[in-house]
Amino acid sequence: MIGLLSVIEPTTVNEALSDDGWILAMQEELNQF
Amino acid sequence: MWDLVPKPLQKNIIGTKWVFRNKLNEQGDVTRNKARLVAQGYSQQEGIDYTETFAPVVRLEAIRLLISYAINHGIILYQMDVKSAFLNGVIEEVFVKQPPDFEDLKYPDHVFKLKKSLYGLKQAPRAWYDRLSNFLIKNDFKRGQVDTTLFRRTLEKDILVVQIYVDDIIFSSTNASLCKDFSKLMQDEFEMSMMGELKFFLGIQVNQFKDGVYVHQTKYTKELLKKFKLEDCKVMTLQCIQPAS
Repeated sequence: MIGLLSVIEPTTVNEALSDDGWILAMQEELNQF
Repeated sequence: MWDLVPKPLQKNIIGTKWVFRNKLNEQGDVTRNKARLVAQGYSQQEGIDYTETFAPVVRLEAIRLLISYAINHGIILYQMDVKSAFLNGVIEEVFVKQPPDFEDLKYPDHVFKLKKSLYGLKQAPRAWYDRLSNFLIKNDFKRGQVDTTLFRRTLEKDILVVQIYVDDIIFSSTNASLCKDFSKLMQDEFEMSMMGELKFFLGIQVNQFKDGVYVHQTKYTKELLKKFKLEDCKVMTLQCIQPAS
């Protein structure tokens, strides 16, 4: 889990999509809906 | 929460956007990557896309009064918060675009008809306040006439006081079991954090002792000094209370 954490905060979705940690975070958010 | 529907004509479709934030612990290390899907509420027009947006917020004086009330009754203040509070608000007739890069493969041009609120919508704060206050009133709470963010419930000789600040809730009761019941009531309705003693609220630190309550802003002050690179400046003691003569 720790290994997946990204230190940078992406400004665009494209940036976020290149990082496993952020993809997971987006999926988590969507699961709430 | 939302339904995928064909794009309606003559309706403003609100864009959505991802916001990425890291959660840090006290030492400043990243503990969580948090992605939040927000609505681009700035494209909403008053009277067309929304009417009511006002949501009351508590005044600091009211918090001080509540703390003082707790001390005088020798009772402990507790706190808990609602996770993703705004997503609990109920709204109608609001359409948003599908999240960028997560479009449905079969219906990429469909839009989402919202059932629950999203962060960024003009009506989000109001929708959440309505949902929470209606829930409390339904559960025999009386809303304050002057301070509409203060709710109380009396049970025989005991009283339970609940103060809300958007998604933060502080509460106290002359009967400890009422606090537990309230925590359970909230947890059954919303996704909540655990109930704990009041320690940090609106940037104010609170330490509760048997003989009184210490209210301070040490954390805020330290962050301020750090921001302006004054952490190692000279310390001076000064009197802030005039001694009684």
